[in-house]
Amino acid sequence: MTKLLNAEFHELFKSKYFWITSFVCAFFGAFITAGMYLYPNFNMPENSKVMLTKETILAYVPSFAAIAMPFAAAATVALILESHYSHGTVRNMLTCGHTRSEIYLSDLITTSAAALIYFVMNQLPVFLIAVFAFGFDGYSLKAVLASLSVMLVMFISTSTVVSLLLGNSFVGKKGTVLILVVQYAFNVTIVMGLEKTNNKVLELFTNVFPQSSIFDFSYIAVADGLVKKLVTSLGLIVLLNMIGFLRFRKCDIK
Amino acid sequence: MEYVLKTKELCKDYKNFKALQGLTMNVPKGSIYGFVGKNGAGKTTLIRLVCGLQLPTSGEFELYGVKNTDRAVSKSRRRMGAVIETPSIYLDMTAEDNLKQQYRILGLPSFDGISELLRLVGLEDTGKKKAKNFSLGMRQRLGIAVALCGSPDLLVLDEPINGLDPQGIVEIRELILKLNREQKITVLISSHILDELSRLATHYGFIDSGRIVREMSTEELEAACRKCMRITVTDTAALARVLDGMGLEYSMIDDTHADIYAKPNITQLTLALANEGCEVQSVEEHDESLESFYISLVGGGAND
Repeated sequence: MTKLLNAEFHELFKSKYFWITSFVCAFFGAFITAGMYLYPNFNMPENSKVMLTKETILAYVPSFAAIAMPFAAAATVALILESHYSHGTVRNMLTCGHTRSEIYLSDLITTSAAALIYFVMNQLPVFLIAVFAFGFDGYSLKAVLASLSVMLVMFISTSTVVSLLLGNSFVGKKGTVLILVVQYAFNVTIVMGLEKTNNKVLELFTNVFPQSSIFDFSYIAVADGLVKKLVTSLGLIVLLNMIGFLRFRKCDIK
Repeated sequence: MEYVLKTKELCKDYKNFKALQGLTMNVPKGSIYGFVGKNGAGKTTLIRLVCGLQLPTSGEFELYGVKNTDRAVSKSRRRMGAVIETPSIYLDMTAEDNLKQQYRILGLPSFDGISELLRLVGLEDTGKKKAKNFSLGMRQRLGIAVALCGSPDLLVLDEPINGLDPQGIVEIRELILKLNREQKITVLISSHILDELSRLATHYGFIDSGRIVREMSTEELEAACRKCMRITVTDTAALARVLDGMGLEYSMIDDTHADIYAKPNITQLTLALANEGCEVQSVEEHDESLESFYISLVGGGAND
């Protein structure tokens, strides 16, 4: 297992997509923070109930800046898995004696680590700019960090685990990326719909789908129901991994 | 005889298609086992099962005496290397980086031996050139080098010469022979290019419709394939008279060629023909090809 992790992390850190995405995440975080600080109410929806001021901005920006992260992480998972399948390197792993469980777990750990790195790369400039450059203390830092920690779990759940499951099922990035785009759009629609209609069904979806929760968080700042959302996301991680793992153990690898 | 791989009544179904139907075969240690069959016969499926890429529907196999149902089969697989269909290499890496990555996957403590492996497969001068810029033959050789990382005892090659140019075919053939003779690596090689296999294999398994039709050694195959002398002369009528006089079995091919199913004294034959006013232009050993033997085994049905 450690051998596989060593090899997979080496592959990850050699991937230009990983580094490009990391820098894009950092740039996006810095850009959003600076933009929202300089133009606090620019383009904020009228019914969002969000009133940005320089004192409250830290409550909103970190989560808002993470809005595109799930997709970036999911694309990375799809690319890594695609590389394993299209180059046939997963065959090397199996042929030289690694079990399917080891391969699945090492994929999960590596891609989750990639998601974590993206998240940190995104949030670091957010905090650096918000706290140090602009010099405001804003919201309770503790509350923001708690909220972000839950977001990270949701983020890994929605981007990494879902795309790992899809990637192993579809064996290729095209199908996986298509489904991820569709579910990303679906989740945006849920949150937007909820904002407009206060529909109970959409509210349920928002609570169930971690990605919708991320959008929800990004809109409403340090959201209510942190623990509930954390438990839902952890439950999804376990459930989807069990499905993915059982499927991967039995599937034919091309 | 010691076997590295034994399969027993191995079956694999894909929905309604039966790829393997009770395949039983034995690969002797130290052999080059030629796995012969047409496309769709089940060669790749068997190799995939052995490598753990797919699971059998029924039946079993033993790799180094460990059954596929035993958890320890993963450890047995550490003793094998494989190139299945296309080489399993990272296209964005150099040849050396590919080998280093495989060393990491295997958990080898150092990168010692990589330069020897590159030299063995003739890729020592590729430098910083990435694998995506390699020719098909170079990729195939890199795939073999990756499979050789960790010094396996069994090398499984699935159609290794597909798509290679004549020079590439010769290089791969010589590499396989070298590995087998010098490093005593057992090689399981599947191919439908029979002529090429006949230059390599020490044992054969003929597969058709997911079953082994016959297993045999090269010696047995040679005995089964009828050897003859093909003679080219200026006058086949004179040749027929002389051969009849010498009591030798023969068959006429055309106006200038004939096959003699014996080993005649060439001097006596040449002198007798000269007395008949017939000139001998060439004499060469000729045998029934592996191809015709295979056709006689499995029939000449459509290649599906």
